Amino acid sequence: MTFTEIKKTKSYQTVLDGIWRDHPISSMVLGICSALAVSNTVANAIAMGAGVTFVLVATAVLISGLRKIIPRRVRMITYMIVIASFVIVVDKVLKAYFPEISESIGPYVGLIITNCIIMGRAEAFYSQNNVFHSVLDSVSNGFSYTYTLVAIAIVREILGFGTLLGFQVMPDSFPKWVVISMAPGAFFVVSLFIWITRTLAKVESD
Amino acid sequence: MKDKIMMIVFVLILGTILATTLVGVDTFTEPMISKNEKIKELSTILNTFGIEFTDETIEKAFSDNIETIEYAEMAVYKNTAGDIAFPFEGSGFQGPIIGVTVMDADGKTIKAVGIKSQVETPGLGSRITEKQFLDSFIGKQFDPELILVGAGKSAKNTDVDGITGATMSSIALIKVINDDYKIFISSSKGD
Repeated sequence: MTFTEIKKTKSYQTVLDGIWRDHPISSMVLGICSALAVSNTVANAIAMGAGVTFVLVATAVLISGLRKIIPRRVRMITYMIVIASFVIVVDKVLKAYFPEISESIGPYVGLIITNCIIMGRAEAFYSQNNVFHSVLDSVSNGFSYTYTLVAIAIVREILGFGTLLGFQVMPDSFPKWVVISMAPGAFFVVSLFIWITRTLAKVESD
Repeated sequence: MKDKIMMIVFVLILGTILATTLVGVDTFTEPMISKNEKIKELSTILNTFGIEFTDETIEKAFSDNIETIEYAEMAVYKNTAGDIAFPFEGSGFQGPIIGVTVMDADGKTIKAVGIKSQVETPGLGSRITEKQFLDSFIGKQFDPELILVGAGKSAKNTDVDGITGATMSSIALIKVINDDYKIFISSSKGD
């Protein structure tokens, strides 16, 4: 298959939608709450991204696998129950193997349940597509969410704490921009990110 | 009718899958989670007493150095030098504050205060966990209880300097410690 042919396949389109064209944070503006809250350090961002990706993939498998027998009337509550169960799994695993990260992310692990990315993708994609494409979609969406969080966290951790993954990277004389590591800083950095990516996306489509 | 049967079948299938997953994960993680909590609890006590340890030697360090005395209302910890620590737990400004206070053998003077967990506002109330603030408790006396004063205003040895920006959390912490000190005194006297 040539690249032009690959470009026309549904798998390619799904992945491209997930990681760029329908980017969950900058294009669909989903999952903003946790992107603002958990992007203060890179370690937190990686843990949160991994957690959301896991829940996305697991939900994609289960929902698309059962899509033909899920009664339409109860589909929303079904998504909620499935998502909630996998979030409990993530919470338990973090508590057991990464207690420090679990403590610093705190309530936001439980709040993955209300992350609109998962609910949104379940309703829009997994309930209408087969398992293979759903998994592709979930991996690309989870990847977008993670790289966005990590990108924002790199800026916020360097400016806010002068560290990267806990290692000192800025000289001691560097004045820490404490505001960047607090909630207002998250708004500044996330909106800058959305501005830049939207501008780039527009240039590409022209 | 067919609808209803399908619904029941679906609920059974989904319930089985999810319940199996959750039970499986729980079986695997539960021992690790309770072990982590135990380590957290022991390390708060050991750190507050100033005893050195590593994650591997923590249980031995605890059993070698600390003796646990169970009273009806609280369990207290005694080190080899005779200092006694009592745990405290109560509501802070945002949520529970849990920690331990090490007392001199006289039962009146504080030797150290350690906080195990708190959920105060990050950057403001959470500053009650800063070493500088906790160290300011050293040498303070319950006479009959601790009193919180404005930052830099402590005159007597019952006074604890508050933190600007963490006033509500400091008030809450002092109240929690005072309340549990009373329980500690009444249990140890009744012994």
